[in-house]
Amino acid sequence: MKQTEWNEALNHIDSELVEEYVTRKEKLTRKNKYKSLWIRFGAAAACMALVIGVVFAYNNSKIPVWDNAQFSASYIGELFGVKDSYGATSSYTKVYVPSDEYLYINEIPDTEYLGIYKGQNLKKDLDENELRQFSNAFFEPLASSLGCDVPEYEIKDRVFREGLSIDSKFGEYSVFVTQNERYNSVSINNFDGKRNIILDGEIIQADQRLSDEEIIKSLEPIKNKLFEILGVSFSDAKVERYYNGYSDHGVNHLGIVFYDKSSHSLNSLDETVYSDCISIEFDNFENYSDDIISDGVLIVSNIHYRKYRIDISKKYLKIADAKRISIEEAEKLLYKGYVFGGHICPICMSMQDKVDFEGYDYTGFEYVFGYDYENDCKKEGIPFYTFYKKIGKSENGNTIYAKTYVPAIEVKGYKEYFESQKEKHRNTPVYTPVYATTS
Amino acid sequence: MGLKEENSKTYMDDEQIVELYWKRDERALEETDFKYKKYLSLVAYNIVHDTLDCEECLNDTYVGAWNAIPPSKPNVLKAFLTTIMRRIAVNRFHHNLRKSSVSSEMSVSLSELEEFISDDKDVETEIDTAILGKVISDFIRSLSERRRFIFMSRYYVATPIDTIAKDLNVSRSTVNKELASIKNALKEKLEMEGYTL
Repeated sequence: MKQTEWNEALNHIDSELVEEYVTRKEKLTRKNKYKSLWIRFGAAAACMALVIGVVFAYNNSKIPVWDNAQFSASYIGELFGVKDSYGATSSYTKVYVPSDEYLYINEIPDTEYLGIYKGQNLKKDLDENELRQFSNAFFEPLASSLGCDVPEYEIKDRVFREGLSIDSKFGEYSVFVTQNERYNSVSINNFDGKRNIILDGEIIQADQRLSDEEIIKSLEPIKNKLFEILGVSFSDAKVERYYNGYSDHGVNHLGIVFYDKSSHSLNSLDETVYSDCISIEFDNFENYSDDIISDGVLIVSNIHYRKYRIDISKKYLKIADAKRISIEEAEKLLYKGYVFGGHICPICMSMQDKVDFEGYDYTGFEYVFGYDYENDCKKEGIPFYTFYKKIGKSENGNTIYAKTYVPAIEVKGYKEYFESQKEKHRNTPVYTPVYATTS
Repeated sequence: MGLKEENSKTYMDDEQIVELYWKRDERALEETDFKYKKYLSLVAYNIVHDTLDCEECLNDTYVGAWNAIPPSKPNVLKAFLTTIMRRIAVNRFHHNLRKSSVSSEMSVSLSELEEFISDDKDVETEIDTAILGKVISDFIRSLSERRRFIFMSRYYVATPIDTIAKDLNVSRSTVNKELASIKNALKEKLEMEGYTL
């Protein structure tokens, strides 16, 4: 596709989309304009508080030092994408949830050592016959459930990436089968009409107002049907709800994943699923800030089934054990502002209201992986404590939490790294938007 | 009434401005210029990165609006003007590109999509851009509200990532992550619709 074609095509997009964009842009600009006035005053006050805080902290709490640790704070910064950037001092991410139970906080493992994982670049040559067998195994029962015949199909090379694909239409449904060097997969979508999927006359739906357990139970018949169609069986299920992360809006995505928890030790330590799996994903395009309750039943769905061709249990290998630090030690780093909270530029950080994590509400545990672009795989996975502090309520009643990360293992060079980051912040020119001068 | 400006001059309501266009009253252009010049210049600047070009794009946009209203009766004048401005500025961008490389936010945003968009000289295919526009519209609609905003900001009007992050009060890395997800989904969508590189 040519650049001109892309740009010309964008000129043809529906006018409502442009209208929606400019309206939202106006709203945000107005909101930020008022906010910036407060920030100017707030920044001065925050600086003062910071000075006092630093002096206080220096006198009262010395941060722990681990000179022989395997990883440095600078390397951790790189995992978060902040190497040679502006670091992440005192920063945090906002999490919006309707109630605390949806924070999905992983339990902190009660072990002296924690595993360090490394993504392996496992690959298997593409194999047309294998893809044909994979597809043939479920095309007939799938077509029967969708109420149509199996269409003629051909295997093609994938267009934008290495791999093979079968792009077929089962009646009104799009059935897209792909193979890459790691897995075979199929996505079933309905891009026409109401975009819902009906299996054996039954519409796939989920009521987001129900608890996770209730949703999983309500989807039991669909799960069994899919197991039968795809010839698989998975012992575990989990619900994933996305709250649009940083916005006031309610659930805009809800997913149910059927998988085998035991297929990888990371499955109980990380949000990602490392297993063959079926996921049913629901979208709610109409979900705005005030309709989280009224618009509870989600009927727009797609189904995705992934079957690994490589040994997934070896995809992320434990390469070392690192000594876990105590929560108390992590708290000292937290209170010092030696945290990795997600923000990498001083502008964004200066826009954030400062959050005092003293008296935080929850602590949890997560792995964070960097990406190794050279080898096209994930880098080391490092375990982190996560800290959550309640900071307010959004318009639709969701609770807003500030969330930040502190490595759960011994790490060297905190002071050097974070102080140098702070120095960079100080030396960063004041941000001024660039406007064209047209006089 | 319109929104009060800092210098106490009042912006006219869009409806009133459109009415002026319909009456063929040239004050329509003055009011449009007064209300939207700064915004439209910014849109143009992100695409063409040249103040003289911006000025020309701005004038062309006003002429475009004058010629299009009537018969058009835009619901959201700003969006209508954005559409015209983008069309004109993008044409200018490609025109300039043929002469030499253009270092603008538009070229950066296009380079982010280089996995499936090539320099014009590298590709010989012909695509029906109206149909592709519909595919892209469907795709944008399938995104969450926030992602729709990010997509439109970055690829429609070539807004710098820092500005998008500031608009949404999130980090640059968050916007980058969202853009990466959007790109992947877009690739899948285009692939499914049979678009080839």
